Amino acid sequence: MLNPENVDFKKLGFQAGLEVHHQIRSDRKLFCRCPPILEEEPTNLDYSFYRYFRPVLGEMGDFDPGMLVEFEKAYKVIYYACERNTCTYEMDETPPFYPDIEAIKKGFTLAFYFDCSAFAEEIVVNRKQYLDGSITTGFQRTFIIARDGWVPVKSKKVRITNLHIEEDAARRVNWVDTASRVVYFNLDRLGVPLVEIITDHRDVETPEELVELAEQIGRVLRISRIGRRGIGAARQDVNVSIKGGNRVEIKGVQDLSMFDALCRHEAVRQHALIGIMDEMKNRGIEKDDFMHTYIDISCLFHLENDTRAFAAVFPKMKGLFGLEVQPNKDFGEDIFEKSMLITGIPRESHFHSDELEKNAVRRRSFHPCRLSIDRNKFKRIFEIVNPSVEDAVVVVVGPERRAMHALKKIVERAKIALEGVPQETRRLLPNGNTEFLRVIHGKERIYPDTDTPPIVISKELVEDSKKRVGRCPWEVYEELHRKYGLDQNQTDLLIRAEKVDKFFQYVEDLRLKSSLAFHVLIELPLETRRKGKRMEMRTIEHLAKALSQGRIIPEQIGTLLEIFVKDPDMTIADALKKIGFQTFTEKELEELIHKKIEFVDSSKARSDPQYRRIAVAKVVGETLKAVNHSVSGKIVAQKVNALLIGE
Amino acid sequence: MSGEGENEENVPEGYRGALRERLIKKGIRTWSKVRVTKGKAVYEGVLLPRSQHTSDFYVTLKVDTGYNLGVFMDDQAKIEETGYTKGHYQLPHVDTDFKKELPNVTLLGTGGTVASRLDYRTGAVLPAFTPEELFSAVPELVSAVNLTPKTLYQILSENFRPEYWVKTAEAVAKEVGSGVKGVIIGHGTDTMCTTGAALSYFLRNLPVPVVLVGSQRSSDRPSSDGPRNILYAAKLAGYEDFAEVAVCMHGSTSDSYNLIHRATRCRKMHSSRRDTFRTLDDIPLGKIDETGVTWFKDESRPQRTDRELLFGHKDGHASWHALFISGNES
Repeated sequence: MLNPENVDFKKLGFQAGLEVHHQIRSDRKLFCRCPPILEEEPTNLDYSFYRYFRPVLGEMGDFDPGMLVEFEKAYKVIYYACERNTCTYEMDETPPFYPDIEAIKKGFTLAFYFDCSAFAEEIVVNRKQYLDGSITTGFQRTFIIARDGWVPVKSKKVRITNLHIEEDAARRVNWVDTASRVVYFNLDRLGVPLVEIITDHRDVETPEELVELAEQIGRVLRISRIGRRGIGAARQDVNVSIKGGNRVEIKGVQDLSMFDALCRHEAVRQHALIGIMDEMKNRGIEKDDFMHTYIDISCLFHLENDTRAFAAVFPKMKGLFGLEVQPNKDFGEDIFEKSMLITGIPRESHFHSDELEKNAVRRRSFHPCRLSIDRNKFKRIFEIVNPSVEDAVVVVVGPERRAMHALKKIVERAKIALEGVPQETRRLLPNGNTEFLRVIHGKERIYPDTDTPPIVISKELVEDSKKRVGRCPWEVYEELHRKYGLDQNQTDLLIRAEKVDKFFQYVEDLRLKSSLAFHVLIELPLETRRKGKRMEMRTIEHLAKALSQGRIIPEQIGTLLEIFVKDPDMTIADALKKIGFQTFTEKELEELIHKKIEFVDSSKARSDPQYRRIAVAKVVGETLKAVNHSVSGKIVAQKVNALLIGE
Repeated sequence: MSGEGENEENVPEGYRGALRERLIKKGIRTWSKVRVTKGKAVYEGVLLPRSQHTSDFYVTLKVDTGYNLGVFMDDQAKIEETGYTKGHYQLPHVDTDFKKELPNVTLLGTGGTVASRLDYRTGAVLPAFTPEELFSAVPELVSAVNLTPKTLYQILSENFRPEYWVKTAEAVAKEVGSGVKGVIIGHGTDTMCTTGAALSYFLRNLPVPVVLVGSQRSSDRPSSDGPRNILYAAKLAGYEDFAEVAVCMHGSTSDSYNLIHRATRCRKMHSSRRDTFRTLDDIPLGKIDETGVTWFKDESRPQRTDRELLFGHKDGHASWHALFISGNES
């Protein structure tokens, strides 16, 4: 295995892309009029019900292979629902209502931001099958808004292939045991309008670019005020491949800081799987070598009723299952993830013969084998299944049918290993590794929705959406950086706080210095919040205006703010009165400074620069205290310097 | 198999007026791969049939991701054919050999959506009535009973007329005569109870169960209640010792159990809910779930073969019954 910390992405031919899912601000859900409010506690419920799902024949009369794998999982899906955010639509007991036109308009606005060239002129709602239970209908309603746009990432253009509007899925809750055949969802999130932005999965070549891509898209959603805010409002699916590998989709990554690790771990995995493929070919292994022959070895174990142990031989595979494909995970376990998820037999009840080797990777795994198989036991297994010395053996223990099903999946997966990396949808784990979730869905799972008529997009709607388009975040950054020296971080803070327009107003109309405007708009509220207090926008407005008119000086902001936090209704004049704002003539100020200077040694200050620094700071501080911060510190400092040393 | 005429092969199906002429002139037909160019915008995809009741000026395209979208074909739009792919409809092979140990049950289809597939062109739902279609949609049926699907009509249940009741009763009688263990009737849910009531008056001395079944979610949906309904109906018709006309539909919004209603007593209470059927002024005959049937009433008619099956409409006046039944219904 390559070292994940030291991956040469260019050499591996690393390619990646994103599918950004972001909830849209709206007053209602996409296909019904329920409010898009989430429950604070995801296990809240007023009522509950359960369903089973099965794949349907596609328009060509065939089943999507990804869907068949989903069906094999045979989930019982239990739904929790609350009256205030669900209706019979979420229960799949009513056809959809007319879609939310506001959400469609917002989709068009976003498409303009990304400079899409091909727009849907008539929207056709499609169904995208999901059999994991996350959607009660068994399909997500989704439609194309536009295609062929782009977003700038580190001086190159990353293509946006499609922009969709769709309904969000239900929230998975009580996710404790991945092997369980019962899954739980809360319906609160189901139907919340979502924009899906898909970038070309070949355009990104490093993890850094990937992060930048996600940030650029996030900035557009923020600056356009279309993206909903809050935890879980944005989720990214990351598509990753390396040369000779295959597109693997890593689902639902919320945290951009995980991008780097997941890219590294997935690149390493694909590289390892390609290596295994080459080795299998070297050994002359062919698909037909792997037979669906499961040998009952239950007699060697003390098993409960209905539980059986089966073994299968994998010819010429010795040593391969034990190869590390991701940190602390060997090839065997990578395969067992799949058989576990489909059949519900935990990884711990799977065993492969390489585990008995010295320093076996499997023993470091989070899911080591818990079957009681030692060298002696393995010898007896060996005697029964009778493999040759270069063969590998896999053992699965579980309920009879499921255990056989698991072995079937393992044999099938071993055959696929001859093709290298299978196209899969995987789940990100906290350590950066990924875990099998499902076979990647084909386009067979998308078919037209028969419940909604096509929606003709009028010129007015397009014009109306276009009017709402403002400047792109990269243009804003360029201007802020060029004119006012703001960096990307500061720009992001302004965008995230939706205060870009205010910033320009303060700087250009109120003539505040850019650093002061940024301080008032961003840093001040942040500091206040850190102290556990709230600062209202009108307070910021008051302060900015007063600063602009010269009624207050920046040094007074802190004192004034304390008053405004307590009483936001107070006027600037009253607040100034309250802090005992005084005006000082130059003479008065000088007299005051003279008094303070008496306490320091002025001759020493002239000769010793170190002493001078301390002395000046002390006198300035004392003076400012005496004038109650009514005079700018800068002016005081000038005066002190002049009076003390005659500069 | 998909029921489309050969002559539709070479035309853009569903397109009308000037656009249709334009497409034909360019040699573009349904399933043509096309490229539409409008200024900067380029749309590539497969030309799909256009469904009814939609605007005449748009083409529907299926793009590479499988999504569909519509493009307005104004004068600036250029369209050209770049290829052609005809999808063919094929079904996985299902072993439908009759097994000796399983009871024989007939499914009479009348046009409901209990087992059906999507018609891609019109968005309509077509009944699935070849054994392959039915069994690939509900594979569990193969190991439950020997089911023979037969199509009586393909009409919507709201168009069910009294003379169809007579024909249905006759078809049931014929099946009974051939010695089946039970009969299932796939029926649209709107008038299921009326047909059920009619049959129960028409068929006297019924020797086997006749179970009406349908679905509230068409079976082109992964969440359809149809497969479970038809499976329970098949088990009811194949294994239970009763001889009445019954309705077997979901008893709850969950996929937990089905209720067995006496057809003369039940009624559809909600247009779209799964648990729409209720027995009025009484309790249902029983319920059926994964563990089997629980009878709530012990008065259901047992199966008997000592009396001859009689028709209640011997005089041929179905309308008299219609009056009686519809009075009973409302």
